[in-house]
Amino acid sequence: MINTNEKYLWVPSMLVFVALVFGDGIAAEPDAKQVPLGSLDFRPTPERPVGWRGDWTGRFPGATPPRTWSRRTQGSTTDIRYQANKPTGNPGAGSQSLEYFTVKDWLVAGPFNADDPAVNLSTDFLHGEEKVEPVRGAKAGDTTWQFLRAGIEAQSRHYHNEGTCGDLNVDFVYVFGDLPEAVADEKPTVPLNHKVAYAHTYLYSPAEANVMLRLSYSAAAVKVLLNGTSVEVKHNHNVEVQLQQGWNRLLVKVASGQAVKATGQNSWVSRWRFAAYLEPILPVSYETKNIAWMTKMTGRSMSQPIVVGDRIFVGSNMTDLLCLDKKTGRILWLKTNTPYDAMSDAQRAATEIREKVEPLVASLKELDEQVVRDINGAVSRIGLPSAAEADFDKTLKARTDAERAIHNAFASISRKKYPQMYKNEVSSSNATPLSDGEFVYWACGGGMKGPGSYVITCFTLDGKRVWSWHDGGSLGSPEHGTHYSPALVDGKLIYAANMTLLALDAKTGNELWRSSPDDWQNGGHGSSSPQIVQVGDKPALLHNRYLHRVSDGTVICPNGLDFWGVLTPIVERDIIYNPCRWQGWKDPAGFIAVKAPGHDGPDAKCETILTLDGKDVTMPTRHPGAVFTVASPLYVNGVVYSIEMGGGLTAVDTNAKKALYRQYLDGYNRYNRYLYGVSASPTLAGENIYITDDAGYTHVIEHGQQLKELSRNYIENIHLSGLGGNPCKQESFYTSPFFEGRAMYLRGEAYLYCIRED
Amino acid sequence: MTSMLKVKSDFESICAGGLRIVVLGVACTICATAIAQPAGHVGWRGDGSGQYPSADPVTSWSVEKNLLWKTKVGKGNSMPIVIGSRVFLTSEPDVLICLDAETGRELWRRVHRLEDISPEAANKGARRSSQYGDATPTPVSDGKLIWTFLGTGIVSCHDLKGECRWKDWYDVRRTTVNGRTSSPVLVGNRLLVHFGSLVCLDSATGKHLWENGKARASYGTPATVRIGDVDFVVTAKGDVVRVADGETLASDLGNCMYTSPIVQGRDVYFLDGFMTAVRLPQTLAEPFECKELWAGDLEGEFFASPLIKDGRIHLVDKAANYYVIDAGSGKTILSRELELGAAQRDSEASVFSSPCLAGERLYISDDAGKTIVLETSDGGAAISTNLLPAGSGATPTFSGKRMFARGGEFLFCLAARPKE
Repeated sequence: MINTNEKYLWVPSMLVFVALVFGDGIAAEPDAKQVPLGSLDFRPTPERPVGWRGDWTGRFPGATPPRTWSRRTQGSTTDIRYQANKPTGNPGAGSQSLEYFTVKDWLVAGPFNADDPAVNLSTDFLHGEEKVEPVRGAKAGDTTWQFLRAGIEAQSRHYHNEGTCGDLNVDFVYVFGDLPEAVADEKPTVPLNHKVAYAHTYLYSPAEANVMLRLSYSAAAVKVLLNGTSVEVKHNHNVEVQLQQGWNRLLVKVASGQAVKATGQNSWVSRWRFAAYLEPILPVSYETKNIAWMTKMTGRSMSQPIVVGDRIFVGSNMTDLLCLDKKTGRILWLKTNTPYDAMSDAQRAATEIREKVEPLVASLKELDEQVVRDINGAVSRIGLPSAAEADFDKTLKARTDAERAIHNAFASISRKKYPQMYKNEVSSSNATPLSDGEFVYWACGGGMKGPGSYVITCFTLDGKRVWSWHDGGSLGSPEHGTHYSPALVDGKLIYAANMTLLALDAKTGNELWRSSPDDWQNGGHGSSSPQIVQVGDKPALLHNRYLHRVSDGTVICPNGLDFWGVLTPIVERDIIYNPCRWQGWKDPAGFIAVKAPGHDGPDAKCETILTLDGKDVTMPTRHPGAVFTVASPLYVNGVVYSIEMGGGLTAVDTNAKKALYRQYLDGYNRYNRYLYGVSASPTLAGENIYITDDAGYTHVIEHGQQLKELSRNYIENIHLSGLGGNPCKQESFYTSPFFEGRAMYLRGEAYLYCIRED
Repeated sequence: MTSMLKVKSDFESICAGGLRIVVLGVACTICATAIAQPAGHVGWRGDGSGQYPSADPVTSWSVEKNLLWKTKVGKGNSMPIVIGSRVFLTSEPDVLICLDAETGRELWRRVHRLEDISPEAANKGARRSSQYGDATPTPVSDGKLIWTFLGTGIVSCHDLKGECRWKDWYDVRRTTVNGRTSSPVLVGNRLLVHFGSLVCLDSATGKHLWENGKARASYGTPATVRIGDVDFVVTAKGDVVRVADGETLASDLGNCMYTSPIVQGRDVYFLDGFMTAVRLPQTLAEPFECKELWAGDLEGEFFASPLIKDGRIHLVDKAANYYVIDAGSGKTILSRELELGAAQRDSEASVFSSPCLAGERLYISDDAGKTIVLETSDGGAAISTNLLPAGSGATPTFSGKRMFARGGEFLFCLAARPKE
């Protein structure tokens, strides 16, 4: 038997020997330190593990993934195209296909006076509503038809704190409101109450087709005419309509009552708006491009996949760690991580565990096997048709209920020691796994608003449980649950739970230390994962507002980063970049770069090396406050890319000390500042940057001085059990992809997608 | 299931020197009494219970009906409080306002600018300010003076004529992500302020008396409890802290994130998604033992604090689901959706304000200006629904035949107009 040190000494000696004997004809083992992440030759080691955002940078320079891919619904809306201006023949370049079922381009006209909306909605202000075929710039009564793209910059609400748009609205308050540019609390200056406005679009269907029309609206009254015939609509309800072959005319007439209204924390929001969707009649199938396989996940999660050799590891549902075959997408093993899983045999022998928990565990195991079997039987390039998916989801729900029963049984034994682990925002499996090449480590659990508990586990790559650790309910949970991923340094597995930074011995799972600097930004949002930063010649830990020693967790010094949002800052050796610096809620968040101290002694201090005022480096807002950011930044050759929830991308050149650009991506972000938009962090693959929004719409852009878009890609999936809140149950995506070789592994709430050229 | 909760047997530290044995003997023989607020004080939810048994307000109103007056006071989530013929409330960003309760006429207002206190206050205090506003804590009064706490960290004391007795900014950490919302509590001559740490100030001078860093604030307001002749506060996170010296006698009794604990007799109820009922000790004999009576879970997100009356707990979640819980067993007696908040079509409204009992009727409001009045008996039958042009997250208050409700930038006084 050789000891650890000897083992590592003889390996390079052997490599030298092999090189001398076989010369150039035989390729030597690549140097692990030189192989870039993303390369097929990359293998994680304890010194270079893989985990959150790959190697915590979000950069996969060795990867060459596709730039284009898609998954499209094959149903009655697939070939529909729409355009605002009057067509002159078959659909041309000016027409759009439906992305995520949304009609974005319109001609709008108004406002017309309507003292009594209910009555005046019947007044024909166009003198022929049934037959109108509007042309851009043409007269509409005494107004003109003007073009409107229902995009992010055409909303009156999205700048407002808690402005929950939720839809791509045709917002007449924006169109006619003469909105103030600087002060959101001011109401629009043009009187808008008791008005009527029209929106019209042309829909092309290659054949007669039945589709579902859905309007989401807020207004006093709405009238819809399809090809001149009235359609009865109800807010957010599907109504089946028939499109004729060729061009169709869709006219939406909307009456305002009180056009803007205070709601909740908002000074005012638009009450004169609608969004229109054309959805296929279920069931539907799909057509894909450059999707090698899709594997159904066991449940919702924000966990990112990692690749170790031929295997993929990803968290799922409540406490599942999944291992998949990289080539086929089949699940090789599934392990739950309940408190029972973390118990020793002696602990399981306790009477109440045997009586209350064990029977439930046995039931879950049976369902585990069935679910893995079913999932593996359904792995394909196009995924399940919607009808099959609905049945599948029932099985998954039954399994989730079975695991919930286990957690509830534990809580009935002791609510203090075993608070239910599943009560975490989004899911309790949000952590990204970590691997050193030999083992895979994972943390799950959490809680909400106080109580919470966690299980941390180490498995071999084959799924043998090496050790498990349960906190016994001692860590609690932040207001919005826990979303941290673990880190590995000096043989210590580092995890952050609620207010506590925690170190376990990576070999044994023994708890080594806890550190809990109490601060409102330290764990409040529960989202900033611990990172490793170089302090002199030693690694140290960055977590929220402090630097900690690896050896014992003690605080070296505060870092002054002052976060706004729930992002994790990016670290380049000893420099930390935070593009969302809290400057007080009335000011936009600023940019700060901090250099870690050169030692960890008593007088160690972080040095601020760059500060940029928020008004110069974050998205301009009408509301006097900071935009909210969930995604972590990406550092590429001196440029820090950051994207806020509303889809605003900023690139800050840290050398020139200025913003290169601040621009909205025209994706499917729903620009609800706190709930939906862009949660996944930007990622570098090869030389390009991939940014995925919450609906799975991915922009590929070039790294550079200007925003240069290379491609847009979308994945449609009607996920009937979805919780993300996207229209038409579009699957939600919250996590960054992992890249390796020619492949990109992207996790949605329903599927793990392997995107690779066909 | 019952269990013995964390015991802190440090009773000795309460008693100094030769008094120790005497006090111990007295404490052991006096039964505990638990009250929401010490007698004569008015603040968060009136006396802390949310109950106004002698009130007999109108049950229906609108801008045309039973609106006695409305006064523009600015936005804020703090409750109005009524002292004699005056109404006091705070408004954004930093204003204490006094109105004539009869007419709504503004009598005076006092601002609390950080820059008026010190450069340090201006710098640090602004960063502890919240995007949800700083005028969320409700002022408290003993009937002669009124104490104001703002989310920036300013605390002040004024007399009822508006003369400032003291005003200061306190450099105490904030522990809640979305600002400070816990209201100050007055116990004798001590003002308890849950900045983040729990801090006790001399109510006459503002002098810092003690700070308990382990008794972390959530968004709820502590309840006051007297056991024997010793005063305690029970925090929303379940700490029992002695007012005399800030010592924690028990902790982790329950957990409220947004709501406040409520008390009846010597039982304390923590109701959030997680529910816990705990019985405090009857005496201060060692050890300080608290007994968990029951525990359970509720679906939903709760911002409104519950209300307990005749052994029944009334609570409502953000989405306007109304529950009646049996205080003895924790079992749900009634649950139903109210026609409030997001339960209504095209509404994004939420229920943040806490239910109030005026006379025998329950008043529950959403933040869009709608209030539903319920019977507390008869299955919680709705008596009326009423709409004001704007709403608020603030809880209304009641005095005699009047109801005072915030709506947008206004305070509305709702009562029958005197006959001409």
